[in-house]
Amino acid sequence: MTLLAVNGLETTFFTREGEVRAVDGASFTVERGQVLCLVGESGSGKSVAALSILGLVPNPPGRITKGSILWHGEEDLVRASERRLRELRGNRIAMVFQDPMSSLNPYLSVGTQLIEVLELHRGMGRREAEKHAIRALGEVAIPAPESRLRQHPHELSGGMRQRVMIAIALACEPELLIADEPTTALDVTVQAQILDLLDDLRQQRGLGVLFITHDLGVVSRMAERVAVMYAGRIVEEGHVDEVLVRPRHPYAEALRRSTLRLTGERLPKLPELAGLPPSPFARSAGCAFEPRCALRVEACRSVAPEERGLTLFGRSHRVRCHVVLAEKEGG
Amino acid sequence: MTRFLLRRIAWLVPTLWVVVTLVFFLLRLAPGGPFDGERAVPAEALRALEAKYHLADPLWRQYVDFLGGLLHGDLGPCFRYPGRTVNELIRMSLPVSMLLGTLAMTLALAVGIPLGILGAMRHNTWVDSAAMTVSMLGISIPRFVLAPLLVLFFSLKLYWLPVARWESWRHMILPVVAAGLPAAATIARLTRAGMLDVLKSDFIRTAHAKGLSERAIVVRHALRGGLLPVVSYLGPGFSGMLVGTLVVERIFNIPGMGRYFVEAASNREYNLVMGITLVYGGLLMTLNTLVDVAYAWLDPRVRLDEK
Repeated sequence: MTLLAVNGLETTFFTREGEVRAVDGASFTVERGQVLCLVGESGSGKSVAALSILGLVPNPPGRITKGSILWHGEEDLVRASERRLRELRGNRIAMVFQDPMSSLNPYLSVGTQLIEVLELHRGMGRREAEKHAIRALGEVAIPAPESRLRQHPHELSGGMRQRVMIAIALACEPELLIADEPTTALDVTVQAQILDLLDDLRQQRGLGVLFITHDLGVVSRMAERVAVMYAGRIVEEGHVDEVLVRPRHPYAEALRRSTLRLTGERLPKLPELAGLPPSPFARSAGCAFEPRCALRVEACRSVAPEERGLTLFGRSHRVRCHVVLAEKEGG
Repeated sequence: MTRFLLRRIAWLVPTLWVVVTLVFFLLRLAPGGPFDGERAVPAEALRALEAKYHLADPLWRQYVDFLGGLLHGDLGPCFRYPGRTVNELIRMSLPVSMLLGTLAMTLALAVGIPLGILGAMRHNTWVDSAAMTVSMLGISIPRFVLAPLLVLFFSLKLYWLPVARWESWRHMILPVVAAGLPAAATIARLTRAGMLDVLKSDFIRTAHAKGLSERAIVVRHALRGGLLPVVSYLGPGFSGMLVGTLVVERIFNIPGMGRYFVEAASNREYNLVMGITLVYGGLLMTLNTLVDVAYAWLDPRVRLDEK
């Protein structure tokens, strides 16, 4: 069942220096009980795409300018009222942010921050919500949950805070969890614990997860499907085995080559991708990756490639590249 | 918390002693005396007066006498108002100033905080610009201009309110407004800046992602942090207000402490200056302690008991 279908999403920031199209026609879907990883470098539009889903892009200066975000295949969140979005946020669609140090309110106790979503979305009374909150903290493996309710964020470690964030996000048993680099700010041990926790919850509850990261190690561990984002567009999307092991798009291929493999041999020097991502103020009419691409042809400069399916191993796999598609069509 | 308060109270006494001692000797060092005026007092009368008030005694003797009196809560006689003691003057005038100051500060908070919140919530809209223009005017117009303008309009043109004096609640309105509005303007700007700062935080984005309404976000998540600048202003602001009403008290002929403030110093009313110093110093220290307590109450990261 498709929980969320984002189609041709375009989110633009109208700044004094000009228009910035942070998300430029991105399409992806999240299924029930499935993890979709959105990967890409800083500034590729991952986070803005996530915020767009919840209608949380700061406006002004930002606004969704095109496309649709279908919830359960029918309700378009781009057109939904603020009131309806508030009903969904934290309730059916929850979000966990990158930095647990600053994402929790330092002035309020853990209990208050957890209980308020239960009171708001579940209409629970104080006492019932408190009981529920203790259970929610227990579920994310926080020891001594009763005594945590009265604690404040500064009294908790980074890993504990992110668990609290996750407990808050999952308190109302959402169908979709958007996790925006939830482990980037944590050390590797804690990171592994949090990832295991999310994976357990996904399996137990059939939670759909949109997982945003730039860490390919995390991707291979978490995801079933991966979407690679570059300059506001999804350049390749497919099953994790295909996209990580045999990427088709030249950018995804460059990403793959830049990761380390522990083989026991002397480590080779990692190849790097020459050049910089295009300026967000000057997007070309053609493929955004064209200036850095080794495979570029004449058409890349003037015509933006469409997303087209490639069928590999019988799974859907989409690539946005003239050269790859020409090869496929040519046999 | 209790230990913090006890420590603060224990510090109050030595601090006030240092302040009082400094002021005592500085005043005596200043040229002139309490009975110097445009017309010289006859030498004989002057000697009699100085003997009566022990002003001819050696300085150390006067200081010891003063401290002795202080220990009994006696600030000594007043030179200009014969038969009156400093204690009496303060007892009569301080409550009036306190009432005026408290009412004015209440008004300032009641007007300034909502105005500041409104400005922050409607940041960069005409509402924000309007609120901030009004508060800029409020800060720029001195009380000695604002007060006569209020009198001119509300008393002399509209005949709504009395021109001066301090008798019924109707007499209080104009002085309270004149004393409170400039503070309201300051508070509005502080609130707006504080709220804007907090509203930019990551945890406000989290609150939005939880589905909370704008109102709940402002009231529950932003206000505490946003009001911290106002709270730190309140300590000196409030004690300043009690004294700053001096101009207002003059204009409305209010029998508060303000008029003694300048008079006492320029007339070398030694005892009265000491009394006012004590009141002001004690008040300032008490308010600063209260501000610290309020800070700890608002921000759980602040711990009072730790060194």
